[in-house]
Amino acid sequence: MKKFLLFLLIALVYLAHQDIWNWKSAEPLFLGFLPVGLAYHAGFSVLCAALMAVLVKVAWPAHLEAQENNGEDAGGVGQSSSVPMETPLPGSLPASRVEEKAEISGS
Amino acid sequence: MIPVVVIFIYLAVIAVIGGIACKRGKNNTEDFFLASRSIGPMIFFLSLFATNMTAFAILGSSGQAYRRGIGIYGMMASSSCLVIPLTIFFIGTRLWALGKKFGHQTQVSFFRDRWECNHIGTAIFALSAAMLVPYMIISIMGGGTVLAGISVNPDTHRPLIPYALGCATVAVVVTANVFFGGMRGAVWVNIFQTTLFLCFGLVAVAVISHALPQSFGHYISQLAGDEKSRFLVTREKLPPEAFWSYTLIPLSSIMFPHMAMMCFSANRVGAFKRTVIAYPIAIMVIWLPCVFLGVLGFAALGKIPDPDSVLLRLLHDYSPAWLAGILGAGIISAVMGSDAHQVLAMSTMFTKDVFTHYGGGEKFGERRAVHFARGFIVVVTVIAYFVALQLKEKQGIFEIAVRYAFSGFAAMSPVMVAALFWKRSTKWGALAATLFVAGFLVWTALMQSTHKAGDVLWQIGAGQDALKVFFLNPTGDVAFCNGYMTVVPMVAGSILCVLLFSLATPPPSRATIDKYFDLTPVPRAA
Repeated sequence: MKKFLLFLLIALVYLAHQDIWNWKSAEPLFLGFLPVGLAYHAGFSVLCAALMAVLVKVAWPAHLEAQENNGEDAGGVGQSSSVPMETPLPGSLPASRVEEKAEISGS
Repeated sequence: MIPVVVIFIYLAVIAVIGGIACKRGKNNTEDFFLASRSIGPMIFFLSLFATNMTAFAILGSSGQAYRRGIGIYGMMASSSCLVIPLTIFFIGTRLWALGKKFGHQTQVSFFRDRWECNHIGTAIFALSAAMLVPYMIISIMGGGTVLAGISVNPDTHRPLIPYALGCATVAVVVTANVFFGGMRGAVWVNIFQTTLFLCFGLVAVAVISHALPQSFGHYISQLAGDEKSRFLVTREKLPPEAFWSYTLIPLSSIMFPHMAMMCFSANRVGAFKRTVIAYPIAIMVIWLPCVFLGVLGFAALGKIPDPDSVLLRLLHDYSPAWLAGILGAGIISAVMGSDAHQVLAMSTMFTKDVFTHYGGGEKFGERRAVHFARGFIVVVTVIAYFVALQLKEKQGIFEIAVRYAFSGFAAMSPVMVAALFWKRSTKWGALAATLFVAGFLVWTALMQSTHKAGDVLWQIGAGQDALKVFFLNPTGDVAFCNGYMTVVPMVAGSILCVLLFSLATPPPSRATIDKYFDLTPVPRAA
C-alpha cells in the first residue's frame, strides 16, 4: 500500500508538470515581473525538492546502507575505501589481481 | 580586457587545484578514475551537479528563452527537477551498491557481468562514446562562445580571444586537469566551479536589474502587451506535445557515463540523500535567472545576431567589467565542470572497458595502457575541437544537444532499468535495444541532412486527417505523430526491444540472478 501511494504521489507531481491551464497566460505577474507560467514552474521545482524529501524520509533503500556498515571506510575525499586496489599506474608496486575480472564470466 | 584577465586568473586557479589533486593522488587506477570511492556527501552533490551542468544550462537556456520564451524553463528545467533526482534515487543508489560490492567502475563492466556477455558491453561502449562526443562538443563550443563574447574589444568590436582560440583554451585546460588529477582533480575543481555558477544567476539578475533603464516588470509587461512578443511570456507558440515529450529527455542524465561513474565514486549511499533533495533547488537557482534574462534580453536588447550570446550581451552592456569577468568565469565553470567529467569518462571507459578488458593491460603492461588511454583522449578531444569549429555557424548549442546526445542516452535508460530491476532481462534484449537506438539516431541524422523542414517521411491516411507519423518540423528536426519529439518513439522502441527480445531468449544463469538481486552484504575476497 505504501509503495502504491508513493508511486501515486510521483505520478500526481508528474501530471502537475503539464499545466495546460497556464498555457496562454502571462498574467498575473508574480512579484511584479515573473510571468505566471514561469512562477508556477519555479514553485514546481520546490515541490520536486519536497517530494524527494518525502521519498528520502519514507522510502530510503536502507538495505543498501547495510553494505557500508559491513566494515567499509566512510572517509572524505582523499581517503581510500576498503575496496581492494586496482591495477596500479606505472612506477608503483605490482597490484593484486583485479577482482572484477574474476567475477566477469567470459563468453 | 578586464573580463579576460579575470577569466585567466580563474583558469590559473583551476590549474593549481588540479596540480594539488595530482600530488594527493595514489598510484592506482581506482584512485585515478573514482578517487578511491571516497567522495563525501557535500562534495558528491557539488560534483554530481557540476557534472550535469554544461554550456547548455546557461548559454543554451538563455538563448532558447530569447527565441522561444519562458516555456523553456518548464520544458527543460522543471522536468529535470523531477526526473533527474528520481533517477538518482532509484537507479543511482543501486548502481553505487553494486559498484561497491563487485568493484564495477563503469556502466559497461556492470552490464557485462549482469548479462554474462562481453560483447553487449562493447556495443554499449561504442554507442556511449559516439553519443558522448557531441556532448563534449557542446562544452567546447560553449567555452569558445564565452571567451569570444566576453573579450570583445569595444573599439574594434572584434574578440581579443577568437572563437577558435577560446575553444582550444577550454579543451587544453580541461584535458590537462583530468590527465594529471583524475577524478580527484575533477571533483576538487567542481567544488570551486559549482559554487561560482550557483551564485552566478542571482548575482547576474541583481546587477542587471540595477543597471537597466526600466524595471523588470516594465519590460515583461511590454512583452506581454505586444502581440508579436507575447509568446515569449506565455507558451502559446510552444506545442504541448513537445512540452510533454521533453519530460523523457532527463532520463538521459543517469545514462551519461560520467554521471554513472560519479555514482560509483560516492563513499556511502547516504551521500545521495542530500543530493536528491538539493538537486531541484540547484537547477532552479541556475535555470530560472538564465531563462528570465534570456526573455528580458529580447526586450532590452532587441534583435541580436546570435541569441546564444544574449546573456553575454546583457553582462557586457549592464555590468561593470570586472563583474562581467567573474560572471563569465561562472559560465566557463559550468562549461568546464561537465567537460572534465566527460573527458575522464571517455578515458575510464577506454582503459577499463576496451583496453584492459581485451587483454591490452596484460599484453602491453600498465604503463602502455595509461599511454593509450591518454592518447585516446587527445584524439577524441582534437576531433571534438575541429567539429566544434565546423558547426559554429550552423547549429545552436541547444539543437546539437537535443538532436543526438540527450535523446540517445534517454532511450538507453530502459536498458539500465531492466538490468537493475528485471531479473528476466537478457543480453539479447539489451543488445536489441542498443542497436535500435543506434540505428534510430543514424536514421534521424540521415533524414535531417537529406530532407527539408515540412517534408513528410511517413504518413497514414491522406488529406487533413492524415497522421504524420514521421516528418520534419519547421526547425528541421524529425518529429513524431503530429509533433512529439523523437525521444518518444526511441524510448518506446527501446522498452519494446528489451521486453520482446528478453522474453524470447533464455534468461541469465541462476547464479548471476542471485548475485545481482541479493543485496545483502557479502565480504569481498582479499
